[in-house]
Amino acid sequence: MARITDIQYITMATGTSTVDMGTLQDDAIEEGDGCSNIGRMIFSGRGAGGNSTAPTELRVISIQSTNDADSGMDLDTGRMGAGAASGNSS
Amino acid sequence: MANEVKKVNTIAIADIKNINAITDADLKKLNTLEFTGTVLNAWQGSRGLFAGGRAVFTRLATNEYINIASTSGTSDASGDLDYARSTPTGVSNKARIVWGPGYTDGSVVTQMDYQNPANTTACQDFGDISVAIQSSGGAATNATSGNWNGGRFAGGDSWSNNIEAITIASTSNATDIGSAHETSAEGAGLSNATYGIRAAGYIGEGVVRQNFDKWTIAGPTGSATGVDTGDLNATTYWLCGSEDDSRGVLAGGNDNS
Repeated sequence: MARITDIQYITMATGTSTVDMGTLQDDAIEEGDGCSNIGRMIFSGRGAGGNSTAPTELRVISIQSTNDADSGMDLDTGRMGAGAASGNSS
Repeated sequence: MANEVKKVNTIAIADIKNINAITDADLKKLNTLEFTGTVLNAWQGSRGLFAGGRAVFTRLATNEYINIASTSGTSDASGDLDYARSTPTGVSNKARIVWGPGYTDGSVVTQMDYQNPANTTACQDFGDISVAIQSSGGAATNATSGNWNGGRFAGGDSWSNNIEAITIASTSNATDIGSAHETSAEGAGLSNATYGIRAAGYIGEGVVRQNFDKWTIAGPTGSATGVDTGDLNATTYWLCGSEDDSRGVLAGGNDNS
């Protein structure tokens, strides 16, 4: 049961290409989900703490580039297996 | 017409909101390069919501939101789910997010919940998914319709190939409108204005999907058939996914090795 660090992208119009974008730099994440606005995907999930730690850290990937990082933002409640989606703020 | 500008001073063009106070809606060229601007998908907005999940073993009913463009701070409380659940994959039309089915302590939550992401009003009952699945293979939307691909049936050892559909603006039960290419759960769902893509997923100990299942997003009166269009680089489940108008990004997960 190995967590993996890969980041891949596909071209949405075709759904066939798989292109390597790099690796998650800080920690592999599983049991997570992401939401996006232009250019930024924010995601949560569980990392090295495994099933005994519900993390608060949110991560970020720039969708058109090749890096990821700590987003600088945290969830108030640690959780894994959350759903994620985006919408209007007003 | 294509956007020839990819970066400005190493900053991805999608991260730049203004150039000398001119927004991308007004900027046509940059040093003779054509600039067509960046496009926001009709189902995405500036606020990101995280719903439910589990704090170790306790399923959560609380939802939280962040400003996706922020670089610091802690989330704020959003409206809570009607029932606590893990893996409630969501679909959105910007003004309404519908959270899908999930698993709570000892049982399946078939009820879908909906909320306005702009306020903190508690979620309300949208209707039920047509089969009792405790997690989907992935959700996709075109801002009008929401679809859920596949899923793990109640009990946890059998899997659905349904494509379930709702109209986001209208509360109702979901309708099974067709079949995915194959059964899968706990993959990642990606969307564009036409297609949904379920990436990878899980169908039991030792059997993990690697492929993409692509279908045309449709509403409850439509039909859909999933087609295998290619493979991820490795068999993976529990991966994170989201998209902009051209790319679907898939990160992390577990290879079951």
